Amino acid sequence: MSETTLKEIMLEVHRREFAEFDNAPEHKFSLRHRINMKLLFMKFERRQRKLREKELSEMNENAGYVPGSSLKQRVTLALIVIILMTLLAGWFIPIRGISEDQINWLRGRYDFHTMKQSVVLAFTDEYGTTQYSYRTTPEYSSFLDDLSDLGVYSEAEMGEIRVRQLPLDTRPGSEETPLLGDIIVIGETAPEGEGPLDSVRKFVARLENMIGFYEERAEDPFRAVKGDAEFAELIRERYLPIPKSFLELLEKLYSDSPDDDVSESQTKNLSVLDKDDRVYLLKIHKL
Amino acid sequence: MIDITFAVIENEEERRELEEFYSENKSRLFRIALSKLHNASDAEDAVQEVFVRIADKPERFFDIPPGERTAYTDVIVRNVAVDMFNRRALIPVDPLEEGIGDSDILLDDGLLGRCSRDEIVEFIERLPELQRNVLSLHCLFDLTIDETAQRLGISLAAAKKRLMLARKAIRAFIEERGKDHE
Repeated sequence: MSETTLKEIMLEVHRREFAEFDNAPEHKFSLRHRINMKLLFMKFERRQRKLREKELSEMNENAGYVPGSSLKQRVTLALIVIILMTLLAGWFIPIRGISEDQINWLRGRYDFHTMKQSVVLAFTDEYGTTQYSYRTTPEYSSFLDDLSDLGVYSEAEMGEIRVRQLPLDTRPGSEETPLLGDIIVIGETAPEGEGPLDSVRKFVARLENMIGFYEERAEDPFRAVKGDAEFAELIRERYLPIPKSFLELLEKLYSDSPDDDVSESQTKNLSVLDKDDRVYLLKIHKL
Repeated sequence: MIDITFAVIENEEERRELEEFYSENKSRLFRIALSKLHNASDAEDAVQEVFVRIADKPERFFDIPPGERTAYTDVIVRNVAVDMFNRRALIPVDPLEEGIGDSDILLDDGLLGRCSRDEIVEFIERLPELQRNVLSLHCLFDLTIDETAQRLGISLAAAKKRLMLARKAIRAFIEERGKDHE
C-alpha cells in the first residue's frame, strides 16, 4: 500500500519544525572553521577524482587492460593535447568542407538509424580466461575513419568524438589487446533506440547546461563562487566546439532528405584524401 | 576521451555544488545546531560534521533533488547536535531491547485518511526528536533503515527501534482518534 500521504505529512512536519530557521541571520564563522571547511572541500574533490580514476581503471582491468601509463598521466596528456589543438585552431573549429556529395556518399554507406556505437564482447585472453570488453562497432569505427579520410576532422580531433575503446593496450608496439579464441558479442552498450545522434546530443546538452549553470551563478551576487565565469568559458572554448560541430554533422546525416540526384544515380565518382594527402578516386555503385 | 573529460569536469562540478550548498545553508545549519548546543564553537563543529558525513558518502546527497537537500541536512545537523550534546553531558542514549519488533508497521494512505492531517502533523511534532529524525530520513528521502542509521550515526538496532516506536505511536494515535470520531 502507498505511503505517499505519510511523506506529505512528514514534509509538513519538517516545514513547521524548521520554519524558525528559514531566515536565519548570517553567522560569521571562525577562522578555524573556515580553514577546516576549505580543506574538507579540497579533500572531497581529490577523493572523488581518485574514486573515478579507480572505477575507470577497474573497467580497464576487467577488460584485460594493461596500462602503459597512469590514468592521471593520460588525462593530463589529453588535456595538454586539447589545449594545444584549441590554441592552434584559434579557439574556433568549424566543420571543414563537407559537401552534399560527401554527405550522400556517407548516407549510402551507412544506415544511421540502426547504427550503434559500441558493443560488449566476450573473448578468451591469452590465459584462457573469459574477458569482457567494450568495442566500437566496426560500422561506427569505419564511419569515423571515413570522416577523417574525407578531411572533416583531423586524427587529433577525432580523439574527442571517438568512443573510448576498451581494452586499450598502450604497450609499445601494440595497439590493442589481442582477442583470442571465440569472440561473442554479448550486448550493445547504448540503450535501446539510442544511436550516435542521441548520445552526442546528450553530451552537448550536458555541456551547454553546465555553461548555463555557471554563467547564471556567476551573475548572482548571492550565489557566485569565485571562478564560475572562467569555468563556463573554459567549457565553452575547450570542451564544446568539436562535439557540437560533430552533432551538427550527425544531424545533417540523420535528416531524411537524401539528395535526389544521388538516389537516382547508379554510379558516383568521389575524390578522397587519405592521411598522407594522397588522392583516391572512388567509384560508388548504388546497388 | 569523452568519459575522461567528463570525469574531470564532474569532480569539479560536484565540489562547486557542495560548496555552493554550504555557502547558502551554513548559517541556517549553524542556528539549528546552536538551538540544541547553546555554544557557538560546538555548533560550528556540528555544521562541519554534517559536511564530513556528506563528503564520506556523497552519492546519497547528490541523489536527492536540489530542492530537498536543505530538509535532509536540517535533520542531519539536528541529530549531530543532539548527539554531541548528549555525549558532552554524558546522557546515556535510550537503552535498546534485544529482539527489535516489527519496524514495518504500515501507515498507508487508508489509515492516515482516518484522521485530519493537522492532527497527525501535531502528533508527530510531539514525538521524541530522534524518532522524528529517523522517520523523516526514512520517509522523506526513501533511505533504508541501514542508510538512515548511517546518516544519523546510530546503530541499526537503534534506528529500527526508533522507527518502530514512531510508527506504532502514530498508528495507535490514529486508531484512537478514529474510535473517538465513531
